[in-house]
Amino acid sequence: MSTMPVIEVEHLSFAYGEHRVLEDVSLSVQAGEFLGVIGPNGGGKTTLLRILLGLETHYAGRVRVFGEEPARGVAWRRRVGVVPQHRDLPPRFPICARELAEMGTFVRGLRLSRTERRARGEEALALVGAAVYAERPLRQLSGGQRQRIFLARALAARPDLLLLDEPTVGVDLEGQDLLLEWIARWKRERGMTVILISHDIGVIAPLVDKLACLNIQLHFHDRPDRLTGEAIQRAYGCPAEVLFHSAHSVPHVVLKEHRHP
Amino acid sequence: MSIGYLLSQGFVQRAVLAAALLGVGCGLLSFFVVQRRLAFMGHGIAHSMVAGVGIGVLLSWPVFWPALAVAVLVAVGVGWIAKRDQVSEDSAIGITLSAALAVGLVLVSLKQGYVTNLEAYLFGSLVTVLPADFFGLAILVGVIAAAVLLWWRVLLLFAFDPEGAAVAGYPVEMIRYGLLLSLALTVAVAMKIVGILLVGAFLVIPASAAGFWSTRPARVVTLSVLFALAASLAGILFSIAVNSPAGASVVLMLMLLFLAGRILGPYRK
Repeated sequence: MSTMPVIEVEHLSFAYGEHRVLEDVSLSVQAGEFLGVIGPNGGGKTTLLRILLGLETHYAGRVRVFGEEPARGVAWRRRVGVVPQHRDLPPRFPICARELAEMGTFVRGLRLSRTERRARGEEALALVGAAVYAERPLRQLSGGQRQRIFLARALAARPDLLLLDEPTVGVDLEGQDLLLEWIARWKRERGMTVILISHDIGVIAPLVDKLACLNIQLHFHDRPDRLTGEAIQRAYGCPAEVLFHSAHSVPHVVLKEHRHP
Repeated sequence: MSIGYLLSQGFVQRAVLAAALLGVGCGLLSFFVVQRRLAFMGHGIAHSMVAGVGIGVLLSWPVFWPALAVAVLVAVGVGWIAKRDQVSEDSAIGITLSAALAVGLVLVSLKQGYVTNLEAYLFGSLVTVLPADFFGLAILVGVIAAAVLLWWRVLLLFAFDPEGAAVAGYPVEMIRYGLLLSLALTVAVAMKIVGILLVGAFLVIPASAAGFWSTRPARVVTLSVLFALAASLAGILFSIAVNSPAGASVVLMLMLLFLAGRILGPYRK
């Protein structure tokens, strides 16, 4: 295994017209690391992800995914699984869970036979505990079940890097815990690299190796478990408060009531 | 005249075969039109062709080529405008559709005494299907069918999640414009048979009706083709039997299939 970082971002800036979204963001993710990215809405989280996936190209700075420039490279695409924000996907599309998971193997240059694709899809469904409803149509699945299937789709190509954009939105609390538990386990057992984007720090803080707050600029926190309201305040520019649930000591950050001047 | 006699006529046979081919082509496209929400685009392209008909009539050219040119221009142009500017796609289509329709009507009115013949293009007619149209249609449908069979997985991924398809490394822009181009070509060819006013239905109803019967993409596409084919043939035969407009008869048959699915289909909710 080479020691090349999975993700390298140097001095990345990006703007939609006049509207600045990312400013001088630098970031490096090594193989096997779990990076959590939190930040307020409009802080550039999804834009960063889109740049990493080659969907936005008019940026300044240097971006490499498995050593390739995302928009131009092809090989990295076979090594990356993505769970997008599923509100953008048509919920009534005529497809069953198994076929949807299999779609994860539809990647340029990934040559598999029909049986292999099917096996990969089924393997991925089993990983997310969805084998029981493999034949159920998408439109009959609950939000949590759908998210499992999208996770299965991301895993079907057996990626080295998993990118998740707000994977717990629309999933009930129990489902959220399960989802994150799995991701942490795959990371441990398979050495998978994970980048998880969330607006809710409580969801990811206990799992990640590195935590970054993104609000146009990027701030790193070496000890995610010690993340304080003060650090949040620096990143968000808003007063925040860290709450602890009694059951498990996952900090839950809540923005204090405030007015912007 | 008996139906048997009419069916022995070359031009009727051509029309029936053309309608069948058109059914296959529209049935295939319909799935992508419905899933990628291009229904209004289909109507927009069709109605805009009146401008092409107007140009053809005024200059005494065969109307097919200017109509085709307008269809392609509108299909590609609207997608381009909506991508670049602050106009939503449905507004862009709405504006283009009305503008092109207005231009066409004015152009036709400049040519004295032609107004009645415009009906053939608005409502479709069997007698206008020429051998050359038939071969053009056969080639077009062949290309669409080959593309769907050959690139089924990529097109399926594109229909469900275009950004996902882009991330997977597929040429999504090419697919998008390819789809719009096939739409424009099909609508232009269908103009003579189904008519400008009703061809949009041909692109929306088959896959919508098929959606009531299955939740598997391959089955929905297959059913969509079968529905469109059946409605075409039944509609044409009906139109010959009772001397009704061909396009309207086909759309009536499609409507019946849609209603049947809505009432009886297992996935009607």
